[in-house]
Amino acid sequence: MADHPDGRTLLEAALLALRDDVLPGLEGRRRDTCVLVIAALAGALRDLDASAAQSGRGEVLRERLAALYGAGAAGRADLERCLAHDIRAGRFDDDEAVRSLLLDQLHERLAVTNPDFVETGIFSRPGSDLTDP
Amino acid sequence: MMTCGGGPASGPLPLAGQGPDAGALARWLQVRTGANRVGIEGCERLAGGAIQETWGFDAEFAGGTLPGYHRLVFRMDPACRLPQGIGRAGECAVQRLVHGAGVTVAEPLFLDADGSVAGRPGYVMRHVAGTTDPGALVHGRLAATTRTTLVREAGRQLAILHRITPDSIACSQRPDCLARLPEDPALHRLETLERELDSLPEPLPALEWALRQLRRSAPRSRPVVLCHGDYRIGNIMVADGTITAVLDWEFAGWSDPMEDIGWFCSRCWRHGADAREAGGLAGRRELEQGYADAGAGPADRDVIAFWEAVAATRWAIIAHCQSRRTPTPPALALDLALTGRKAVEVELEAVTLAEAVRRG
Repeated sequence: MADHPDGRTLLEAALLALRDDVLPGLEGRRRDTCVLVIAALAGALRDLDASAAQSGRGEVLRERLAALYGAGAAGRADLERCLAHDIRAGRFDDDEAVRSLLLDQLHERLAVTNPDFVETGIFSRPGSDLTDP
Repeated sequence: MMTCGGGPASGPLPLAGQGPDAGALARWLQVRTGANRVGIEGCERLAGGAIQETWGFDAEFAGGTLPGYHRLVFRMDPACRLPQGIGRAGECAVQRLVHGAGVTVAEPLFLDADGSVAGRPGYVMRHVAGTTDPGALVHGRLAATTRTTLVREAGRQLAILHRITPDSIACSQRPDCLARLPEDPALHRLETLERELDSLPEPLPALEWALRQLRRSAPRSRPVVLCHGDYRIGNIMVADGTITAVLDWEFAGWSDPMEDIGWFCSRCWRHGADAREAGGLAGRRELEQGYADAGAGPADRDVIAFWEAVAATRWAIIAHCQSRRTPTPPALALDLALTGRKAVEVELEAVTLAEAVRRG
């Protein structure tokens, strides 16, 4: 049996305490640093939420990578190394399947770090979602 | 007395490590100036980028070549230096060169190439007042007319800088860091970025894709001028609505002048004010106007589009590199780690822009 609360719940409680209780009383450099801490905690929470949800999707991307290199292809890291090398060498110039795979890989990572970016194109700025004191 | 400083610290500062020792600094300055006595009255870290360490202090010289009371700055290597820059000796030499050419910069005074003051190379320059905080400049209370004036002035400063060409400096007077001329600035930049990608522990195929598109559409054999290499809001000091200094010459070198314009206009450096394409402050036409009014050649928007795609690619690689730097002190880690988390956003931007350039 896992102890309660779990790590995710603790992280979320810490984030809310910082955002709602600590941050409003800070200013200047300490406030800026607190904003970064809140952004870091929010990022860690998204990682936790995404790790379970994305394991299946990651495997699909690995299989698409492996399909480029045929039977006996290695793990995802080695496949990506081969892909990077071959793109630089010009092997996949104008290859729509590779392009699509690369964009899907980026979207997979963005789903964790900034899920709104693909739609909005707005770069993340820690604290931009927090109200000024 | 702790009276020195570059204006109120803005943006999160790393918890300060050990700055230059006041006694060592005073003794070194005494030798450099021939003063009878040098008093250092305070030393504190100034706001600035996450890479270099910049310390402000007040100094009083009795006699020598710099008599009297001065507010000065000591800029030194960080404990963990990025390999890409020209180092403090190069930066000091370039800053001296552009100061003589009329660019608005803090006057560099003395180079400590061997790190006798703080154990790392550094140099002393005059203190300049103002803020570099993009939050204040882009999202603060500056009037639109002031923002427009700043961008025009930024264009004018760039035009003055870009008057410096390989032919305008005698070879014997060129700083070592400017000794080599790239035959083709676009290909030189792309090759540099490929080497930096190779230095990372993991492959980044999307950035390889962006670089490949850029290689296939690079403008060829453009003339080179002296470029800042990191010209953007954040490296421009502003006080009372005017530019008081262009800072951070760490990445200066010979390149296509459109590279500096592309970097300044990159969406990565608009700080969320995307509609104001020149640094988040005003339209790019204002930058180009200031550039042309100061006698520079016309800005070539097709070439600038190429360099904006390069800018996104380069910034994505820098973000990955920064997130992997060994942080010293540890408090630096949070800022750099969050930069690493943003890298994937910039990777997608790089791919999008590089493909647009390729399509023409």
